[in-house]
Order: sequence, then structure tokens, then C-alpha cells
Amino acid sequence: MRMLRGFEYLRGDSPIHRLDPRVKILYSLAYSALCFVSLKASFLALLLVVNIPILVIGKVFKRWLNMMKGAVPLIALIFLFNVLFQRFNNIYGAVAYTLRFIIFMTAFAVLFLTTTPEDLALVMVKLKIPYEYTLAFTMAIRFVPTLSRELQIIIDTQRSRGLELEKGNILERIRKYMPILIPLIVHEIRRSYTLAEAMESRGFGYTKNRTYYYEMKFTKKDAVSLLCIMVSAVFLGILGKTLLWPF
Amino acid sequence: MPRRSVIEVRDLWYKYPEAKEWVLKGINLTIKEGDLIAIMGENGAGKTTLVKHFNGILKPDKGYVKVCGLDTREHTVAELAKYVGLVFQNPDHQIFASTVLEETMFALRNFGWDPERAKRRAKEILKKMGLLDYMNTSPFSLSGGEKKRLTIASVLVYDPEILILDEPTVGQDYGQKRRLAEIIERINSLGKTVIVVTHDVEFVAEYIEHVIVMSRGTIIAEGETTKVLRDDNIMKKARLLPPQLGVVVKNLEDYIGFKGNFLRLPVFVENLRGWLENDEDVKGI
Repeated sequence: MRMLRGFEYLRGDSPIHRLDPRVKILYSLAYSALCFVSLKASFLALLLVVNIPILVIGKVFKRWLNMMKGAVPLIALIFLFNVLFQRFNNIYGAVAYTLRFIIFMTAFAVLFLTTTPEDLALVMVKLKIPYEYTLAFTMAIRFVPTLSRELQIIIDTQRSRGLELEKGNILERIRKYMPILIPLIVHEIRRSYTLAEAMESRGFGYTKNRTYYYEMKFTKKDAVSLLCIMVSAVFLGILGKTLLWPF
Repeated sequence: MPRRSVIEVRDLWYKYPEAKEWVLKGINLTIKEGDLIAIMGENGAGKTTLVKHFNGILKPDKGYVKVCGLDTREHTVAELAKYVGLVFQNPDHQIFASTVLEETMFALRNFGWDPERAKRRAKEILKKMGLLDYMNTSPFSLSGGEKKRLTIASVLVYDPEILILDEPTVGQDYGQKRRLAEIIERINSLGKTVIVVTHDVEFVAEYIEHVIVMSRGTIIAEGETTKVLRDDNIMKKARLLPPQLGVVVKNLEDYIGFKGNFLRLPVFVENLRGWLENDEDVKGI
């Protein structure tokens, strides 16, 4: 839950927040791609370190840290699996795979923590993705916190009726989640109908050519940032391929 | 015989994890066996947070809460639930079973009752709640008022000492509210403690005699409804609208000198009639 909450957008303002979302998407993609240049743990560690100033400038370092704390079980699992099913001679291979995951998350955290869902939607529209899908995407993000709040209420309600989630073997526990999942799903489906009706009554889908309140503008700053990202990515890529990394 | 206290709250402080502000700031409260009491206050005053401490869903950060002598910090929700039945605001957050009967039996199953006995008990309570005819239908197909009664039935079924209703009147029409009041009175007359969390001033004025008023995490007033709800200062502080009848009586006092401490309509009407018949000045009008 905590990891999911990491992707929740909170209003903020920083040079990174103000960047064109397209530039940030490119950044996330470039750094995710760089993970695959080399499987050397030291190179990947460098990649991670390079990301940190960006998080600091974007004033989201703390939230990123929180998000990572939430992801610790998953990170531990990835590490454990790689150690158990080793194809490498040393531990660094497992470290490298784990780092890959962390960098992947970090690169996208930069995007999601500093970009409003609306901005992301605008990019999707620019990419000619039908607006219905774009809307589904923004709503999915928008409803994560609502859903987690509702889930908590339902858990509280059923616990008040004597449901003990902590007790029993795995099968029993799965069965015990039915009284929680059913109200949640029914409630959400009902809500989606209400939402659809409310939107239609405000004219959603009236015209094919929607206009937008905000228009994206590609400024000089964006161009410079884009250039920096590309140059640094290519540089790091070449470095990863050519330099002899110690481990 | 002095009544024993069933809920004892001492210097309770609480804040939600990762939040900065205290939601409850040093609450002290004693509720006695057989009390019928309303906890009032605006949204965000801490009413629901407080009652969530009564069955251990939330545990105090400072201070303690004792329910029927049990310290909530030392017992699980399931253990405390046997004493405290908490009915949440929205029935849609709890309904999941395929039939009304199954829904009612859920708590009994959790408490490990024998199925036959549980079934008998569930039917009994459904009959009292006027839901027996729907026994085999889906709870999702019930009306708003019926759903509310079902959620109350699904808690009353295991006969808790204390019944807590969180915002029971929200979304209920007048008839349903009256029915709700009858149920509350009936349960209370059996000697059970009933706590109603609400900001429905009119409902409290009409049906509940004792009230606790909360504002911003503290209790700002406690006492008889007729006194507390007619105190403009308290009502202002709690951001609650005074009950209409209270306003009417106050105006009557100012204009024709008719005095009284009325919040219930039938009592008021009867007294006003009596007063009008006896008052010489008014007779001529």
C-alpha cells in the first residue's frame, strides 16, 4: 500500500515539476534503458547515484525514500530469488538485478512524483491515444488514495463484526478476504456507474474534438534539459559498454 | 443500586499514523450501563475516531480506554467486539453475503457459534427488525432503510452489551428515522447501552436525552439534551445548528412569555395548549 501511495501525486513546485512532461517521460525511458547496457553492479550503482540530485532538485527525495521503504519486501524478494537461483559465480549478479529494479522504480518515480496526472493525460492525447483510454488512466491514478481509504473502512467494519484476518492457514486467510473484497468491488462498480452518469450529464463525449484548459508548451528550458538528458544518457551508455567495471 | 460504568476513557490522545495533528486531545469520559447517549459535533470533530477506540480498532497513543473492564490495548478487536457492537455509517461497506440470513449470521460464524443455533438466533433478530421476509433474498437488493436495519441486525444478533451507531440517520427519510428511533429505544429499554454518533441535531433533540458535544478533538459539553442543545455558545462552538423547536420556544418566550424547556414536539404542543387555555391575556386574542 505504501509503495502504491508513492505514486500518488502531491502538488509541488520545482524546476523539475515545471519541465515539459514529455521531457520527463524521455528521461524515465532513457534511464530505464540504460539499466540494460551492462549488468555490472558498480555501473548500476552509478546510475542510481546520478538520479539522486534530480530527486533533490525536484524536492521529492523524501517521498522517494518513503516509496523505497514501502518497496523493501519486493526488493528483498527479488534479491533472494536471484541469490537462490544464481546463474552467477558471485553475489554481485543478484545485487545488479536488484539495482536494476530500484533504478527502474526511481526513474519512473521522478516522472510520477513531479508530474500531475492531467499532464500525463495531455501527453497521451498528443500521442493520439483515444481520450477514453487517457481518462481511464488518469482516473486509475486519481482513485488509488480513495480506494486505499475505502479498503481501510471495510477492513475496520468487518473486524468489528469479529473477523480475524490474522488467524488461520493460507487457504483460510484467503477465504477471509472475501467479506472485504466483495463490498469493495461492488462499491467501486456502483461508483463507476454514478461517475459515468455524472460525467455524461455534464456533457462528456458531446464532441469528438475536445479542447484543453492547459496547452503544453515546449520552452527553451525544456530543449536544454532534453539535450542534457540525451547527452548524459549516451555518455553513460558508452561508459557502461566500454569501461572495465570492477564488479 | 449504582450502575456500573461500561466505558471508561481516561486522558485519551490519538493521532493517525503519519499525521501531525492530534485528532483526540485528552478525552475523559465515563458511560454507564444502560445509558442512551448521543455524541455530536461537526465533521472532523473526532466523533468516529473516538468510537473506533471503543472496540479497539484504534488504540490510544496516550491514556487508556476500558470497555466492560477490559483495557483495549490488551485485547483484540474480535474479543472486544463481543461486548461492543459498532455499526458503521455506510451499509455498502459491509454487505457481502449472498442472502440476508447469511449476512446476519456472519458475526456468529466468526465467534464460532453452532450453525443451527446461529440460524435460529439470526431469524429471531431478523423478525424483530422486520426483515424476516427478505431472509433468502440478496442483501444488495434491499432499500437504503432496510440495509441500515440489516447492518444493525447483523450486530445485535450476538447481543453485545453496548451498541454504537455511527451516523445512523444519514440518507434516511423521515419514516426510516422514526423506525430507527423505535429500535434504539427498544434496545435501550432492555438495559443495553446505546451510543449514537451523529450531527443530526433534530434527531437527537427528538429522541435522545443525554448528549456529549465534541469540537476539534475535545469534549466541550456533556449533559441533558434540553440544556446542551439550547446553549447557544456550545452550539456555536461546535458549529451545529440549534434545534428548530428550541428557536421557536425562545421566540415565544420573548414575545408572549411562554417558557419551557422543550425539544420534543408532542410535549411542547401539549404544554403550549395548556398554557394558552389558562392564560387570561391570550384568551382574548
